[in-house]
Amino acid sequence: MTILALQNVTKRYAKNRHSVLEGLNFEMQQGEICAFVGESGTGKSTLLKLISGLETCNSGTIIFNGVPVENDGLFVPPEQRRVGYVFQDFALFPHMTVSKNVGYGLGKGINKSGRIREVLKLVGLLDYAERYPHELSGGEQQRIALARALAPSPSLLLLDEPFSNLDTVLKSQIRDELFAIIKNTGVSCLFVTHDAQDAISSASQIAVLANGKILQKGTPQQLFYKPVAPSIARFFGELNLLTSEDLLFFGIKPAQAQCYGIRPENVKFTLEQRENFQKAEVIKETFHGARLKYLVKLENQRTLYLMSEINAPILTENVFIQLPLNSVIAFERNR
Amino acid sequence: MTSFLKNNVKIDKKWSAITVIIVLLLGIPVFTILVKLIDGPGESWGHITKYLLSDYIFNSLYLIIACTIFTLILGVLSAWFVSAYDFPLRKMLQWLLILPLAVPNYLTAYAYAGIFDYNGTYERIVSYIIHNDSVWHIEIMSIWGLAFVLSISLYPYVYLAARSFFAYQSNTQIKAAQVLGASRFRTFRTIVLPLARPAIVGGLFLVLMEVLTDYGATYYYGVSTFTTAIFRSWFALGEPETAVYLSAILCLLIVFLIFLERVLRGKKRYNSKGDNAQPLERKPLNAKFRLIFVFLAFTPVLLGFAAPVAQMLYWASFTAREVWSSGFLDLMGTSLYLSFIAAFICIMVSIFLIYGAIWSRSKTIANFSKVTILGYAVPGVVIAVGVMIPTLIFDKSLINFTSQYFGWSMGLLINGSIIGLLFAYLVRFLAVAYNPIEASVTKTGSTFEQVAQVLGIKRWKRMLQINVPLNRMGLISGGILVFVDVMKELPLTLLLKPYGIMTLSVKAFEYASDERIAESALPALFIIATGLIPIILLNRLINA
Repeated sequence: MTILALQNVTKRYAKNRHSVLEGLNFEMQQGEICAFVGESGTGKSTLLKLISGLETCNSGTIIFNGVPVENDGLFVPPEQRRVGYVFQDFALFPHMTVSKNVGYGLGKGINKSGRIREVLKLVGLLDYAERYPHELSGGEQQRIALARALAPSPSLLLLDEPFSNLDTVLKSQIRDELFAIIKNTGVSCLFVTHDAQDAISSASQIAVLANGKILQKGTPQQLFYKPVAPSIARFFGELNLLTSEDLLFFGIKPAQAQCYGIRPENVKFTLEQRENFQKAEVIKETFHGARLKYLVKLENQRTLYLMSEINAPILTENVFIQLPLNSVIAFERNR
Repeated sequence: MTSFLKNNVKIDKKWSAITVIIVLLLGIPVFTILVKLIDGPGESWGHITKYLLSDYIFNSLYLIIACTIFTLILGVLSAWFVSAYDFPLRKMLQWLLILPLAVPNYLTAYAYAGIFDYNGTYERIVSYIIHNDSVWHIEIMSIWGLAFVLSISLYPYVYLAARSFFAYQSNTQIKAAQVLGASRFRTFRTIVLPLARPAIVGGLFLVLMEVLTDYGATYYYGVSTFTTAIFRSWFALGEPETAVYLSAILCLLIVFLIFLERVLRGKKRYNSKGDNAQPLERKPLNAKFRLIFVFLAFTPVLLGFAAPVAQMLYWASFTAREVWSSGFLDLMGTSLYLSFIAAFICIMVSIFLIYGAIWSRSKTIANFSKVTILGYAVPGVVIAVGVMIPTLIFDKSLINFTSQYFGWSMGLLINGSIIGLLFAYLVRFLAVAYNPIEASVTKTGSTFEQVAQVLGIKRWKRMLQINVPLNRMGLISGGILVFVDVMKELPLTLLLKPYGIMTLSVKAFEYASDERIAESALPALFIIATGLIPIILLNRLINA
């Protein structure tokens, strides 16, 4: 069942300004975890505000469970949409205890204290009920914010940049714990992030946003192995951008694509001359922990990045390079 | 506006309407002045333009120029001195320099009238020192005396603007100038002063607004300006039409000042990035001139605060008992009560305007609601005129209506009642409450309310449980500022207060006008004491 549908959603903040979101179409199914990925300023947070009703669209339709909540003649205010929303800075009410925060959205006719205990237990912070937000760590604050959003049992949960406010050291652990909790509840979840790693490790569907439009959507695997544009490929790691001339130089026949690319770790190289390998001169090396990254210059004056094997000896002067055909990505788009 | 509201479902119509209605209500005094201009001036208008208008203009310009020069010297030098040098008592001087703001202009004027009176404090002290009775008399009750009194009362506006600029501006330009070999004085003259100019002009603008709209001091010193002329044409000549015309000219003068400030500022924008803003590094003061400089630095405080307060205390020492026993407690009660109610109303209306703008979900409404804070730029006298006329019209038509249809005979309902007075306070002082509250709401951000909104919480509950507690400091400081402003307000209260009600400020004015100036000391001291509260708060805010 489709829990959320966006149809031609357009948002512009001021007249004559270019749109933040332009004719966006998107659907997500019950129980799915979806991610919107994009650099800052691509309208990710705006999208969540539109879905929750905190902002209004200029045109387009938003549908919850088959029922429109906003279109040209209709606007359901956020109070009545009942989505769960975890804000980027968590926004715990500083003047209320943890249990007051968590119970804030619970209406009458609900066993409040029972439900508060239930969700606090779910996020593993049952002992924190009487603390104040400033007494919690960043990760704890986030889990309380999640508990607060989950307490009224929303059918859709929105997370705005869930990990941008956390220390990078603990980030992946917190991320895995957080999504374990969310999956446990079975709630449909939509989150936005600028970090592709967050998206591919947690979401079942990903949409990449750029300039207010969806550039590509699909499973994490589709995005990683078949990106339609170099900008998407770059989200998941470094990329050598190639032209069809570059491919011909390596003896590869170009396909019908706008441009091509290969990741540095997929560039094959040896120390002695082999057939179909091109000679290149090492210009620069960068230390990347167990691996080294090299910038090399080919005889046609083009440069390429390549990655050494783990703990390989340091390359000097000249290497010989090949581009394995199955590692070359053909892009449908230029950018 | 209506079609715009009708066509857009996404705009909250109820809150848009509430906001628009509040704005229009608050605009009534100004609309009244504009509409009344069409009716033409009163009979004596010809006389005024022929014989008096040039006086008003000359006096106003004289005061503007004199006060500009005086307050700039006092304010900028003091600010630079406490920001750039270290010397004994510096920290104390830093906030003592604001104290003259606690004394309303008219009270400083009364005190100086007493100090420089024949056989007044000044003459007695000097004759005691020189052992000679023939001391040269200084006639303070003149236009230059007025310029002096207004300047020493108002320079803190310039001082505050300059000081907070010196405190928050980036230190790097000054460092750069010094590394290039510029002396400290040259750095001040060529780098600091030009950079600080917009801030200083902003402070000066506040001074000139007060100078143009002052009533109490100007009236007492017998100087004719637009403000005193508005009073006279209404009460002595009984011509509200003429008062309206003079009000319009006064407003034009103020618009001209605003325009001038904008033009002078031009395209210059010197805001340095907040990140690297560091306070100026202070240099210890050269030992040779140390005492002289420190003494000089204290003179603004002596002139603007210590001397008038001392004079008031002296007067109070022999008049306080009698004034106290003649119903002073009632007077205090009325003033406190009026100020409290006015502060409360201003806070409530500010909340409605600020959140109405947010809740309406309309940019147009939000921008429209900002118009109301312009009320602070409209002189008190003009607002009084603008409130008096429509309330009279309203009451008269109500009297006609009730006598015609119900046979009742009733008196004036709003005009000359506490409602009219409180409404005038609201129009005049809304901005005073609105600005700190809006700053607090902006700082708190909309996220907390949005969280509650998404959790399905109703509007009034969000207000009480989230917005009010989170913005309580802004609400309290807005309230205190209005409270103190109403305590010391004179012309509005004088014109609009109901018959039989007396406030501290009006009583002080009456004593002074009745040649019983010494008796004004007790109410004056009480007003000054309440005026000290926000100054202490303000100082904390700047230092925080």
